[in-house]
This record gives sequence, structure tokens and C-alpha cells, in this order.
Amino acid sequence: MMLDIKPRDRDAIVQSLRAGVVPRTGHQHIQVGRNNEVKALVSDIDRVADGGAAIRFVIGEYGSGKTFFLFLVRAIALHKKLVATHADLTPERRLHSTGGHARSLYAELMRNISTRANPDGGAMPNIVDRFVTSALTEAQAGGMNVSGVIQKRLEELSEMVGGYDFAHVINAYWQGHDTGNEALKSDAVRWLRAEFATRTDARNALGVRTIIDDANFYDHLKLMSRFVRLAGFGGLLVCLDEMVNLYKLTNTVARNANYEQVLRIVNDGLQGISCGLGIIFGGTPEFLTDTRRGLYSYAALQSRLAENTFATDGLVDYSGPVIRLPNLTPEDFLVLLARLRHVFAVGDPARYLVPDEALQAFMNHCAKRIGEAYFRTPRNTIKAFLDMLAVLEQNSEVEYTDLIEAVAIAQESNPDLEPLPDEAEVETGAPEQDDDELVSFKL
Amino acid sequence: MSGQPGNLYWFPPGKPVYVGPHHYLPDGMVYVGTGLRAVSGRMAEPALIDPYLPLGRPVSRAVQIGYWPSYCGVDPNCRATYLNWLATGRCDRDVDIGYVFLFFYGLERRLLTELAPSNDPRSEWQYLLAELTRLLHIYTGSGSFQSYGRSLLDYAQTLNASANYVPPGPPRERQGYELPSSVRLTLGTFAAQGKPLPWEWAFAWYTCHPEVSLRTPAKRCDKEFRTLFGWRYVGQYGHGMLLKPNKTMLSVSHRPASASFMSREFVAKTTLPDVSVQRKPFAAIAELARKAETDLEPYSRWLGKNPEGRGRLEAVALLPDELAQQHRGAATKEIREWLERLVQDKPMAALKAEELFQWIAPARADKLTKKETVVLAQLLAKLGYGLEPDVRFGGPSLRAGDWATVFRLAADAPMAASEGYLAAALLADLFVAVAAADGSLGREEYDLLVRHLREQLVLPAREANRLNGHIWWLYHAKPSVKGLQKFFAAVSEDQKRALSAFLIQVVCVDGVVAPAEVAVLERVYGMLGLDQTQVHADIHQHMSGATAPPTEPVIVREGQPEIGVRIPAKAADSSEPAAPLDMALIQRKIAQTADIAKLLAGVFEEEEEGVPAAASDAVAGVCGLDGAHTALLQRLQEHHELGRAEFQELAAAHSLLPDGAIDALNEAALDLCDELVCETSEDDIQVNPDVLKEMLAAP
Repeated sequence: MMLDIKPRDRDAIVQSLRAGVVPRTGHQHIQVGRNNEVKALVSDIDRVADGGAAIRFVIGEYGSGKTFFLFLVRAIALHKKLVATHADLTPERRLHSTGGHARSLYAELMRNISTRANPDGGAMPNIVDRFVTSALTEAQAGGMNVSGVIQKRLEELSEMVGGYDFAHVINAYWQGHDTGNEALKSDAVRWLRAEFATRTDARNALGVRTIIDDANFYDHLKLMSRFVRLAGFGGLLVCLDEMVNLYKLTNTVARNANYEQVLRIVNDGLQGISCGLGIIFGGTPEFLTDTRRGLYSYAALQSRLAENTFATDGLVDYSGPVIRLPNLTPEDFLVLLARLRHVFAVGDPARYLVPDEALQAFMNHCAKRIGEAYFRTPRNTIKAFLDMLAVLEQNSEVEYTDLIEAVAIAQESNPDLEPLPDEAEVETGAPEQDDDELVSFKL
Repeated sequence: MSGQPGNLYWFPPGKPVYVGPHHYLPDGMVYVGTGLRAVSGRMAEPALIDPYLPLGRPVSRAVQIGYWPSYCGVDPNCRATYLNWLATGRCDRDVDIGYVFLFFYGLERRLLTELAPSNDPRSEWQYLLAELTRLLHIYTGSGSFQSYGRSLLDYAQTLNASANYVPPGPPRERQGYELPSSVRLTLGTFAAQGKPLPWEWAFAWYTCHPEVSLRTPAKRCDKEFRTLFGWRYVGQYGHGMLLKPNKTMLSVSHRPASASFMSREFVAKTTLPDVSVQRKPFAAIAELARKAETDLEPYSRWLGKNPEGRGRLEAVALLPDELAQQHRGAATKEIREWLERLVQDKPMAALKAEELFQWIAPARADKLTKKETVVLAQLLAKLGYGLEPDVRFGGPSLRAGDWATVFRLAADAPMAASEGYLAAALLADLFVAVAAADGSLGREEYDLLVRHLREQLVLPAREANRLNGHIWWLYHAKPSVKGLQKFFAAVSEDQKRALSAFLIQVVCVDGVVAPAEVAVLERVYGMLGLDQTQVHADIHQHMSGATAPPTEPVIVREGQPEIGVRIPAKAADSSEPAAPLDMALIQRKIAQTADIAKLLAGVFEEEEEGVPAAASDAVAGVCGLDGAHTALLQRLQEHHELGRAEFQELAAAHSLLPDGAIDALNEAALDLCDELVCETSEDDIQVNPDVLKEMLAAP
């Protein structure tokens, strides 16, 4: 079945894919295969929306479409009225740190926070507004004081770590709105986004004693997930991609501290403690199973993430925390090309630029040029296909047969597989590096 | 000129030439003649002035001669206009930029194909560059000319291979999709020489960066943005940031504007590092700039609503601190002087509230709204003064006839109340209210009490100032507390005990109990329905240390006397002089008062003017929206596009917060027809009328 395609979606998909990045919208039009994986994640989302918890590791090889898959899941979550957010881990953004890197990951997550109506991030004011509006409505109906209603509603948060100040900040947001104090309002949002770097600044601006920092990264994710539920959303879905950056940490202490944080999250998720919070990690196979640096190097995680021993020889189990994304097959890839042709023609078969044979011919050409990699790491192949369609669209006199042979496709290489830097080389001369990394310097 | 085909074409600077009988071009710098081919050879040279081509009559200078003009291709009237412009010194600002380009094509050809670079200031090369610089200063309105002109200038200067070249000044905005060469060159030069990067160039690095899209505050308040960035950059880096040279070498390219070259690209390689590829220094600059953009947001939004309001005090109140403190507007100067006179060398001044009204032109003469009071307080804070009562710190809004105090603010004075401050202020409120309740306290006693309070409620310096201001205000205003008796009656037994114990603690904290304080305590006990004589017993108990502060170990089980070593009797310490105040203890106590503060908050809260119920209660909801959202939706029918401020007012009229309302409306719209009903940008909201209609028609 082919869905209706809106021109806006079409442009977004074509532009993003031609630039080699994952589109933000319209994933449903180009999702191919992986039905069971999608179903598993949809059930996760439903559980989160019911106030449960979810935890998943989406493991796939370089270029196999992890990021696309995460964005698809994110889009589904938004559609089901969850609040969703995502961030890539980088050397400067980690789950645990003492040098501000965890705060910076939290800040990135909060900048990207999205709702269905505002899927491109920056939705923090929308969420807080919706919460305060509902408190305002309740206060009006009952003839009560708005601050009192806010306080009462956030009572359940006050008992959690950081919850007291969280409630205070939400109240400050309302006060700012009520008294036309824009500075107070924007300071409240800045606090929620972890943009205050020192307690002194936060105290002077908002009268709170704490800030969101490295130490309470996960506590605040839990708070936020409860808060979005109080604001009328289903829950919070957090996608953390490029987890391989933890694997790449050269310092064992720093790496293990991060894995410990993963363990805490996994434990809460598997036990259903975190309420209305789903966390999906995206990473490569070595991040998971490498026994020297990967998650498997941390015994407690290994035992929790070990795959079902009965699920071998083609049998799979989608209920465990680890989901392995299979690579696309050539058949999947043919379907994908057909979908792309369909999207490019805005869903109108009369406007198809190439006949069915062309798809096959294109695949043959790719196979000749770069071997089987063309369907395993489809990014460049898709780009080449769309570039070809673009040329055909603008030059109606050209036939696809003239073009196919000329299509150049670059082979992709996985940057993660490049040898890790020698410990002595790591970022020499960068004194602002985290102190837990200083341990790895050789003088 | 004699018009023989095939003669020399270029008339160097200073060599005059006649074109036809009427046009005398005194200082050359043009190609004149016939038959010169373009550099590419594919067409006639566009810059060549062929004297045999017919000339018309000069037309309006502003008439456009189109893109990629060529002298032989434009109509005779335009040729005459062009020659006129050349003859009159090439400085007419109103001329169409096409003519300037026509002249520029000639310079381009001469510089790129015929002359060798030279550093000699008397060389033709340098003369032509000077002419180009002159034109760039005149024709600043054309982005296209600025871009091509600067690009040629940068390229030519790079060819000069003078490592000391610093472009005339940073470009103001990005042209095209790359960081301008002048910026890259300058960054490279500063890095190579190990000199700090001046703020103007750091600013240009940000504003001209291809990945930066300036936000509304940076565009609407460009001057303020520039200044703020400059100050903060200098504040952080002094003379400037030091850039580290990297290994990537900088090359500067120029793509000529003239069609003569058929889009050939000229590349000049340099030995300067290409600093612009370094992420780290740019990230630091970008962070500084983004913070400045964010901090200008309230001011920018206000200016959006009041485009003519620059310099008004309400605007100054919204400026970031640095800008407000340095603001030199007439109104700012006036209020600053007024405040100076008012406070002089005293720590604070009390005045009638209406004296403050003049500065912000309130809607009503007899009282300020909460919002107006906040504006006033923010304005004073920007100028370094605090106001009490202050809505932001839990005070009431100002009314004519009421007292107010103005005092100097500490440098790091907070803009929101901490718990400790709230507790201390409430306590002061309570004491003064009780003391003043029936006026039976003598004037002197009353003064003593106030002084005592100020000494007792010790807060960190940054808050102590405000507390003093608050107490001074209480002293003058003696706010009446109608509900005090009723409030005390409603307090539970546990709360009564906690309250009285707390008051005793505070009174005794400095080791001295003033008679006025005892009087107040007696009255409070009375109001609480406790035995008034109990006051003295409690004070005694506390002073003698019987009620130890909870920071010490608590007795869990009474120990049994055991026979053993005789313990020497405790030395009597009551005769010792009063120990210096234990500040930490006081801090702790004040911090512990949060609960009491909450308890008391009920009494002093200003009677809230009940939020008027929205007019939308009766509206039946559509698309699963409630009445208020539906009513807002209906109001949107009147608009296709509306400014953010306008939308905020509309939302407020329905008791909705703006961003949340848009989110809720769009969510409902997506549910219904998978389209947004409001498209938002930073400044305005576009309404999709089709979706709106569909939503309102839906059940």
C-alpha cells in the first residue's frame, strides 16, 4: 500500500537523503523491512505511554541504518503524543563525567526536545506552557491560587532528587509570565535546559540552590519524564545515538563510570522503576560485545544484556533489551529504490522517471562498482540514485540508460574502525579536558 | 582620440580621453577602442568603450541596465549615462549599480590579466586598488558589488604577498556561502603573528560564518548586539583571543564578476594558516555571541512591539546589565541623576510611591499593575538600585500614597528571592505587624525593634541590603494585617508550638533580648492562645541552653547513672562575655524556616485579584480542545498572519500561555488532518485558513 505523500515531506526526504543525512519527517514512506524490530519498539512506546519504562539497545553495523531507525522510532513516539528527544554522544557529551560533559549531553537533549506539533526541537517552552496552562485552568475553575495549584501538582516530584528545585523553577516560570518578567521566564527555561553552569548564577536568577549538572543527569531525565506526563503528554522517549563514543574513551576509569551510569539506567528500565521514560541507545556491534572496551567489558552489564541463548540459527527474540538490526537484503533494497522513485514522483505513478527495469539495472551497476556493500551501507547508493533522478527530472531529453553507467558511487568506510589514537596522542595540549582524562596523559 | 581600429585600449589612471565630442574622461582607467575581445575570446569585451557606437541622451541615473551589462550591449541612452557618470568622478551615489559594475569589469581585467602585483604605492596596481576601495566605500548599498569588490581586493592583496596585510575593516555580513576571504586572511595573519584577535574580527567571524543564521535580536538590535558582543569579548579575552596557527594553508580565490572571463576562478595561495577551519576558537566565539543574542531577546521583543521605543526607560529596563549601565540616553541620564540626588550618601531613601510613577508612565495614576511594578524594579536594578516593595520578591504592587524605599544594590544582588530571604522578610513582616497592631508600642521601642531586627536577621551581604530596604519600608509603611487574628486562630497546635519556638529562637539568637521584643512575643503568644507568662519561661529556657539547636545529638534513651569515676563539676560559664555570633548557626536557622515561612505566607499574601475567568467558558470545544483553546481558534479566523506580541495578548485574553496554546492547537490539527494550523517563526505566526476552517467545522 502506498500512502499519500505531501510535497513538503517529499522535499524533506529528497533533500536530506541527497545530503547524506537522515530526514526528519516522512520516514513511513521509505521504511523498508524490519517489521518485527519496529513492532518491538512500538510496543515499548505504548508501554511508556502507559506510565511504564522501556530500555533498548539498537545495535547495527556502520551504515546499516541505525540512525534512520532511531528517527523513525522518534517519529512514532511523537505521533503517539510522547515527548521525544535525541542526542549523539561525542567526546564532549557523555553520560557520566566530572568536567561538565554529562551536563552538556543533558543540555543537548533538552535543546532537541520535541512534541508532535513541534518536531524540530526547542519545545521546552511549549511543554512548560501546557503544564502551566492546565494549572491556570484548574485554579480558575476552583478559584484557587495558581502557584498553589502548581505546587500541589508537582508534589510528587518534590520527593525525587532535585524535584524541589524543579518545582520551584516551574513556579518561577509562572511568576515570570504573570508579572511580565521575561528575564525570569527565560532564566527558568535556561535552568531546565541545564544551561546554568554555576549554582551562584542560578541562585541569583531564580533563588534555587541547585543546578542540573553532571551528578544529577539521570535524576533529571526521570524528573522530566514525570513532568511531561503531568503536562499532558504520554511520556518521554530519549534516543542516545553514537554510543560508540563511550567505547572510544581511552581512559578505563572514565569509561567504566559511564558504563555504570548505563547500568543504572538499564536496571531502572528493566525493573520498570523509571515512570514514563523510554531510553534507546544506538551503537555498533563492537560497542556492545567487545570484551575489552565494550559494554561486555562491564560484567554487570554483560549478564543483563546477554542475548537469549535459544535464539540462534535464524530464531530471534525481540523481547530482550538488545535489538540487532539486520542489514538490508538486495530484495529490500529493490523495494527501497521503488519507494524512492515513488516519493520523488510525489506519489503519482504517471510521473515515475524510470521504468521498473531501471531499478534492477541500477542495482547491477552498483554491484559491479562497489560489490555487495551497496545494499549493506546504502547511504551513498541512495544518494546516487536520487541524484540520477534529479538529472532526469531536469533534462527530459536524457534517457536513464545514458546515465546509469556514468553514476559514480563512493565506497564508504567506517570511521569507527580506524585505529584508536595512542593514549599519549589523545588531545595533547588541551588543558580544559576533563580531569578524569588527564590520567591518560603521558608526560 | 583618433579612432584607428587596433590601437591600445587601456587608458591608465591620469591619462585623459575624449569619447565623442561631449564626453571628456579626465583620469582614464577604462578600455577605449574597437575590436577588443573578451578574455575568454568568446565575445566582445564587455568593459570596452567603443567610441563609434551611437550615444543617446543621458537618462535617469537610477534606470537599471540589467545583469551582466556590456557597453556594446546596452542601449545608447544608457551609454551616455555611463559616460556621464565616468566624467563626473564616479561618485554619484544614486546611479544604478550596473554602471559601477561596468567600470569594475575594466578594473578586473586590468588587474587580473595585465598588471603584475606591486607593493609600490605609486604603482598602477596600487592605484587601481585604491580606486576600488574608494568605490566600495561609496556603493555600500549593493551586497553584490560589495561581495565582488571585496573578493577582488582580498585576492589582489593576497597576491601582493605582504603578510602584514589587514583588510580595511571587517565585512558587515556574509555574501554567498563562504566565510569572506578578508576574514580568513585576517584570522590567518593574526595567528601567524601571534597577535590577539580584535573583537571586531571575532564578531565578523561569527556574523559572516556560513553556518550561522543570526536570530531576530541580532538583526533587530544590531548595534546593541555588536556592542554587547564587543564588551563581553574584551571582558573575557582582553585584547583578544590568541589563535594557534594550524597546518592547513589558506588560499584565497576570486571568481570575476565580468562575463569576459567565463567564470574562470583565480586562486592565490598563501603561507598563512587557515584558522577558519578550527572548531574550538569559533565555538567559544559562537557561544559568546549566542548568549548575547539570548540576553537581548526581551529587549528585542519589546522593540518589536514598540519600534520607536529605543531609549525609553521601559526599554532600558530590558537591556542586558552591561548595556543598561552604560546607556547614555537622555531619559536614562535624568533618572540616574534623580536617583543620585535621592539616595546621596545614605544607604537608602524612603519616598512616596507616586514619585516613582513618573518614570514609567503607568496606565493608571493611582496604582501600578504587577507588570508595571516589575518593569520599574527591573529598571532601577539595571541602574544599580533596589526597590521595596518588589513584586519579584513577594511584595505588593505599588499604589499612590504608599511608601516605598530605594537603596543601592550589591553588585551580585539576586533577582529572585532565596528561601532564607523569604523567611527573614516574613519574620520581619510578622514582628512589625504585631508590634504595630494596636499602636501600644511606643515610638522609641518601635524604632529599637526595627533596628534590632536588622541586626538579628543576618543574611549574606548580597541579600542583607534588600532586607534592610524591606525593613525600612515596613518601618514607614506599617502595612496593616487584617487577617492576623483570624490566621492565628486557625493555626494547629503543632504549628503554634513550632511558631513560638521559632520566634523565641530568633529573638534570642544574639544573646540579648530587648524589652520591645518581649512585648511583641507576649502579644503573639496571646494571639496564639498560649499563656503569655510562658514567654518568659521559654526565653529563659532557651537562653539557658535547654532547647538545644537540632544540630546537636538528640537523646534517644536516657542513660542510667552508673557508679564509676567522679566527673568534675562543670565550670560556670554564664559569666563569660557573650560569644561572637555563630553566623553559620544563624544561617542554618534561617534556612530551616522554610516551613514557618510557608505557614506565614498565607497572612501576608496580597489579596490576589482573582484571575478573571476567561470569556471562553461557554464555548463548546472542537477537535478535543477545551473551551479556551477553541475560543482562541475562533479568534484566529480574523488573521492570516500575526505578530508574536499580538498572539500573546490574544492567548492571554483566553488565559492561555502562548507556546503551549500553539502546541495544543497544532496537535489537534495534526490529529484531524495531518497539517499544522499555525506555522511559527521567531517573530510571527502564520495561520493556515483551510485547516482552521476544517477544525472549526469538526465536531
